Amino acid sequence: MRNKPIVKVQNLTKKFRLGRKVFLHAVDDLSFEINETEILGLVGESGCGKSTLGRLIIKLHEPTSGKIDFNGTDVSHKLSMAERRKFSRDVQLIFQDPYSSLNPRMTVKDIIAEGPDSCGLWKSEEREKKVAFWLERVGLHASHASRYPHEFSGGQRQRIGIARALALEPRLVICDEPISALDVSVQAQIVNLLKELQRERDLTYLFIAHDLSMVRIICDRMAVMYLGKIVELGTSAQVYDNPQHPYTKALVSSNPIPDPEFEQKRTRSLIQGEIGSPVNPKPGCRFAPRCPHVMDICRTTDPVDTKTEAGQVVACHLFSQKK
Amino acid sequence: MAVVTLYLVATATFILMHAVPGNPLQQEKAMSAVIRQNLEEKYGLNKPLLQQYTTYMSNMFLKADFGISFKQVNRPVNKIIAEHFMPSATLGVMALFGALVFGVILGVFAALNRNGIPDMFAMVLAVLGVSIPSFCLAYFLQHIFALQLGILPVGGWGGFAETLLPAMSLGMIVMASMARLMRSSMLEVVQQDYMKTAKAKGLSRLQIILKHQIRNAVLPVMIYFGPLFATITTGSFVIESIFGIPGLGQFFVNAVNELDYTVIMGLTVFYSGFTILIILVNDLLLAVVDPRIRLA
Amino acid sequence: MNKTAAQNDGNFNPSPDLFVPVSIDDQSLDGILGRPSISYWQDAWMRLRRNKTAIVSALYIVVLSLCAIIIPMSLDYSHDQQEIWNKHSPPSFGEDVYVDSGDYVFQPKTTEQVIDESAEAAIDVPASPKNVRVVGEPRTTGIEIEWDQVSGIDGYRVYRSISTDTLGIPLDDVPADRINYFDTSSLSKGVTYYYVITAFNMFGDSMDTEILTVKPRFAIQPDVARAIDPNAQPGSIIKTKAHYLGTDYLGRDMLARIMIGARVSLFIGFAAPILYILFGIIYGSVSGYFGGLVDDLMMRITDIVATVPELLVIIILQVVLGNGVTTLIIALVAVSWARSARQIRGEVLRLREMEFVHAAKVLGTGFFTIVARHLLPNVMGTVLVLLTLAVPSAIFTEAFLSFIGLGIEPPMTSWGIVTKEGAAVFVTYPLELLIPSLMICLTMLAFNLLGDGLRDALDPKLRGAK
Repeated sequence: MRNKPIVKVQNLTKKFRLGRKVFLHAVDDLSFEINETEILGLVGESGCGKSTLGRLIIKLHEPTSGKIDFNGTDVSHKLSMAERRKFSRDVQLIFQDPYSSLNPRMTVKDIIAEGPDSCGLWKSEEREKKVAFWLERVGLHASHASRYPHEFSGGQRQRIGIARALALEPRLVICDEPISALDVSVQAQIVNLLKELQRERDLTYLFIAHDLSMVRIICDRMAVMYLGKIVELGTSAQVYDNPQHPYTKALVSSNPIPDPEFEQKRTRSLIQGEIGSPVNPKPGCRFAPRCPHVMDICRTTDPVDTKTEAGQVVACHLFSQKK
Repeated sequence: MAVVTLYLVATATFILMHAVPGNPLQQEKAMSAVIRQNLEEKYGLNKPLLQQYTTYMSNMFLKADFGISFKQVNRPVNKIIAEHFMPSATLGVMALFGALVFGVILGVFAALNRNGIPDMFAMVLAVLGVSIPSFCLAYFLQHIFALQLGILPVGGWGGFAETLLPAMSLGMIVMASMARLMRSSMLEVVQQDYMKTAKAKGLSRLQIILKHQIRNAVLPVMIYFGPLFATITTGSFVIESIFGIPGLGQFFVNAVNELDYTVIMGLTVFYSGFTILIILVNDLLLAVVDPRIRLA
Repeated sequence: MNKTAAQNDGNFNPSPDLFVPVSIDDQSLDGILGRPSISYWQDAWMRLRRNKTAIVSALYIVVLSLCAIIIPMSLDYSHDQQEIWNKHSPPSFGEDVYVDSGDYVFQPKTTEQVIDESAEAAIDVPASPKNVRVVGEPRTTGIEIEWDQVSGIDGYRVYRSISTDTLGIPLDDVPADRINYFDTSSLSKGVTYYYVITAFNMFGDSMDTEILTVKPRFAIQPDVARAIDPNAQPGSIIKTKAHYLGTDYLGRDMLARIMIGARVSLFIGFAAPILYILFGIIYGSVSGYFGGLVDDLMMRITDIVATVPELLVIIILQVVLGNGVTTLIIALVAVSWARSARQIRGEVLRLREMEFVHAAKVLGTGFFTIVARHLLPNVMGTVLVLLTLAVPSAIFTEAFLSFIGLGIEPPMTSWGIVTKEGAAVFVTYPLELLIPSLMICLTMLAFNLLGDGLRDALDPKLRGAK
């Protein structure tokens, strides 16, 4: 049973201009959907464009071309102040770095209340109560409201960031690598918190990460990105246990399993070479230079998204050939 | 970039000079009518402003002719520059050299003996050096060394002895700034990981200091050479007056006081050009010393 | 087995009832469980307070500013009021001075020239006049000298010196039939004068002259005395006004001049930096925030302005615009804004990329609120340090310019002008140079130390350090 999509992305492209004829293709002709109340994972190496994609959806970047639809409304254009205020009530972002995402000069209370203050969501009498509520909800204490960010640990700061994002009670939360900067033990706590909140409030998450096993656990569906393109998309179980795309296969196999005997017996599919450059990419499949199954067609034509019987979407000539 | 700046400076100076009402020659009452007419002819003071401008510019840039001093009739500015450049340059070089060398040494010693006596001494000296204006220091030094102790000449220009006091007065502020910059740079470098690596590799303390610490610490400091040079140049105006050194600085001050326009203009452009040249040299030097910049 | 502090007698066995569970709500633990919650500014202030030199410097600046305002108002003379009769006076609380009767009229004494018919025509310089003596009491209001006549000369010449080594300056030529002279030309108190009277003819001045040593008594004319004390009577002794730091070459009070100079120098020192830093903030923020082409263009302009040698431009501007406080401030601002704009733009660039600014955008915060809440407070630290270090530079520039002859116009005075005047008489009256120099040095020192202290206090890396 599929929910209806809350975000529809069509042919989304974002190019950064580096020089007169030099463009960095951060996100290249992407089309996918995020369904309501699902947790969609987005994985890939550093520099593959997943953060950019997240910021495009929340309108921190403007798309070079393509459409973004939120809940039926086209938000591809630059938002006016009023539109932005309305939009921020629906979509929020949890940042990666707990150290630079909180203004060191503001108290925790002001940080959490910043969104509602800007949008006029809370009445002044209820401000303190609401802040206290959110602090408690993310696992901190109401007395922390008058403190400053530097008095908290990384994990606690991230909780503050979560409280700040949720204070506006959005429907979609983009989590931009929310746990990458934290210790492993703290990561689990934060992830559990996020799951709780999602269940409680029927939230939709776009969970950007590079830790595959974590994504496998949390997310309903998973998309794998490489150099600005989605190479594979399916349920987490499908993508992780049964990867189709050569890149996904390599990614999954390189993930260490905490079982030494299994690790020893495992065959890894290794990829050669360095990650390519997203600057002025050559035509054809982005993964061609490193792919162990590369064919001639891969170097000239971009692969199209093909659906397997199981419902996985793969962008690879290996699959479109078979049709 | 540099050429553009120089051009703008020259133009700006020209505009400013001619913004002052009146023909500069009018003030010269002792000049006969014939001479005045000749001079006006030569420098086109009767011609429209635009023409004067082009004449001036082409004279300056193509022929390096800065015109003739108005107050000292028939003395070309070029000649003035040529005659008086050497003392100023010598003084400047001495001051700069001394300041840089001693400043760096002082800063290094301060950093190496952090919070110890040499450090405190050096830093007190540095703070004082930055706070005492060069002309005050000049008189002070003059009083002690020349008048009271009599071991150095009061002024004039001739041999090495005459250069000591002026160079010290000029260079003190630069030396002090250098020392502070060097010290903080050294302390920052010491925290870098490659310092620990060097120690772990087993290099002796001296080797570490010489090969790693100083070399890396000097880099951010070198960026300031240009502005510091400018400080010395302008400081020379006053120092030359106090010590009676026949250099360009004194001339500039006199020209300013007497409103001798060609000299002012010519010297300004000359000084600006020189400063810009030094900055360029500094940038090149930086590129040579710091491999990171070479690629940019 | 290692011993720890708690086990120093090896017998410490804690029992459970020594421990009491604590609730997180317990307010009494606020200072104990953790540091009290302090903001960035409070932390910086605390650290600054511990820096004694910075506090002393700050106090000095405050005291100086107060003095500059109050002292000139409480002195009963202005900074340009001249007491020529009291020039180069050392510091005093007021000296005793005699009020002259003021009705002395000099009577030239002449003699009959005895012409000795039998005497041969002169073939050499004449003999010097003998018995050169003082008439009456020598005072600084006038010294009368008399001598014995020398015959067959063209006239007498009066020389005066302040040392026995030199002949001194020729005061006047006196006709041959006169035998006395009244000197009133700028006699200073406390100075010993040496007079030499020569007789001269066509061959020159007489040699082997006598030297008359005169120590005039400090005296003033009645009208001058009444300017000090309206009830001053001739023949009485009154006290001069107190000159706590002495007087300069025109008899102007040094303290008043220093304090008025302080007003001017401090005013320029504050006004110019505040203006150009303010401009730098606006310029740098716009450039840094908007980035891209706007930033490129704006920084190009800044580069050009910054490359030009500052002092040269200031000098030229002064020549063109004329001297005075306003033109000086304009010149300073025109030349210095570029550097501060650059630095602030760097800060804004750094801040713009901070995630909390992005978060603010995502949360729907408006542009002005972002600037006010997120950008400005974080930039303030840099700005404050920039300010305190810009002030000594401005003070120095003003002093420097006034020293050359540009800068401030009299009758207004500034530290630069007082220094220049003091430098001229430095060899004989060192105090007149020392005092303004000391003021400049101390003030620059104070601002530098304060700036250093502020920089250390605001440095986040040192947060919490002792």
